[in-house]
Amino acid sequence: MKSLIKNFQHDSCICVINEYVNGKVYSIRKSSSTLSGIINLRREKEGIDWYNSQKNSDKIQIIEFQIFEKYGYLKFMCTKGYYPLKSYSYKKNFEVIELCLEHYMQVWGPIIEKFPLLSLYPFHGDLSLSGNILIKGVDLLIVDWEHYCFNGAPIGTDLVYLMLEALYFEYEESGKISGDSMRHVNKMILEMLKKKILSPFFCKGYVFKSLLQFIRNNKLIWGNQYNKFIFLTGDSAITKSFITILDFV
Amino acid sequence: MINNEIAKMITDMGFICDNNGIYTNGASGYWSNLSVKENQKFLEILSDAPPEEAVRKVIPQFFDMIYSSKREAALEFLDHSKPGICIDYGCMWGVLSFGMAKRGHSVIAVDQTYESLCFLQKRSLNENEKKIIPVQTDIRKFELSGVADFAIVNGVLEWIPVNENVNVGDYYSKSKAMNVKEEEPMFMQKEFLKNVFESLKSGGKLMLAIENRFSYEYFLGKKDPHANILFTTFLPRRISDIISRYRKNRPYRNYVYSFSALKKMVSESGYKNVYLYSAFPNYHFPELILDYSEEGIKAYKKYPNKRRITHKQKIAYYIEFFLMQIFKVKNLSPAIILIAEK
Repeated sequence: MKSLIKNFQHDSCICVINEYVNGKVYSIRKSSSTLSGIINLRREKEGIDWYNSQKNSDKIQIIEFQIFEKYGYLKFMCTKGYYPLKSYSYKKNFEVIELCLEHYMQVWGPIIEKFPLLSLYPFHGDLSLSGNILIKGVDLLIVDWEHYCFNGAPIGTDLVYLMLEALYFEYEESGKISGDSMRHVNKMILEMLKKKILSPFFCKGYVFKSLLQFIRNNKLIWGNQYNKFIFLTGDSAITKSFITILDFV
Repeated sequence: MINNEIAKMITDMGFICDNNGIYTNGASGYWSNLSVKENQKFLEILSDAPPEEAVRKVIPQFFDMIYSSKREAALEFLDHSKPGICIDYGCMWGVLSFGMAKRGHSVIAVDQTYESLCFLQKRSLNENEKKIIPVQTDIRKFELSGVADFAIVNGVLEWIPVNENVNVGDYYSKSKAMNVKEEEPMFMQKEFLKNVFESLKSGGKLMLAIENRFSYEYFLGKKDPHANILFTTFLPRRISDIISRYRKNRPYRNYVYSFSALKKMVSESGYKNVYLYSAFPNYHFPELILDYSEEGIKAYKKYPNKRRITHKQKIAYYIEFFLMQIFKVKNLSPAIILIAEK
């Protein structure tokens, strides 16, 4: 049994088909017949390979990868036991965000240790609570590597993005950002500094403003999907006021 | 090489390749979203400008319909592991013909409308796509035997019983009464499916897409997308015919089907291993294509849709969400995609 569950979502130019065995997702097939989609599939393959090599185990098992002149696809096993998060709001995910920091240390740690002075490090490009982090107890798995860049971004960019997006979801949901969330952000940033996984790039001014600047200056990483950064491209009152709030973070 | 063989085969059938590179047997016919005049203007611009620019300039409203690779999603349910021959019946501007060619297959793109094929041919040259052979003829009379690995019938079956020339815009308004005695729509559709079956090799696959007769949208007051009349899709055919004759001065002939009726008709036309899928919000730009089964509908979820703009559309979507997510009434899905084997 097969079902197409995403088709060019966020202008990704990729369609995603789940293949089922005994009613459960067995494998996932991503394909594209556009240039940008094929580039993203290549990046996803590179990202998964890098991720697997860092963790020293095939967390995401690739079954098939083919790129032709005008068409390509990537098929991988569905990793069993991991589940998507139910809420994306910051205040409901303190523990998950802390787990992400730990996981980030484990995955990115070796490369930081080996090359501590690089200005750019491997970059997932879409580390988000909304579907790209799967969880099982205290273990987690990062999926959707289609924006991966080996020399992509200053260290810590993925985590800062994760927090910013979760804050946005909280703001969108409740119209405010709670004091607890702000304190947690503060704690996380101090922890990142302590563990040396926050680039000096973020320490020159406001952390989130620096991230927004980075995203604006590197639109090519996301191509057509740049528009999915609703807090950057949206013009609703909520996105505008959210950006204003960032002046105080 | 394979294209030369196909070209020879088509020539042997009595087709002649004209100056525009289109194989034609002189059959006349017209089905287009554009009027003849609009098409002429479009072709004039096309003679000087690259195809993409011409579309943006003259018919920007159809840009996505012509170019969006999102429309190719249903092709992912076919096996592209080795190159084959595909016949795209009623290819129009060729979005799926290009989709199949990009996946490595040689495509015989058949349509009755010469102007649409001129665009397709110009696009092929512009994109250096050599695997598509445009053929202008009446698709009901295009008879090949055992040559194709794939047959695409995308949004075509419901138009098979309509013999008149169609400019969709005019067709929606009142037309002249047709006094000619015509065959039963269902009979014509079945004969066409048998003809498509004949064109396939053993093991060849048919991909068919069509609206669902019992889509929840029609019960909510969406007009029949072919006849442009309320309720005619799901009412008994005889009553729909009376309504159509009264409102549009023409018989009701754009038959669409329920999942089970379509499966029955396709099976009776000789096909085996018939698989059904529900497409949301339609088969033109699908966001979800789910296996038509109790298990399949469980994968239904919220999906984005840029074309959901008006309040009516938003309310309809909430109703759809409710029907599919809570009650799992898959037989009310908006559209059907069918894959079958010879």
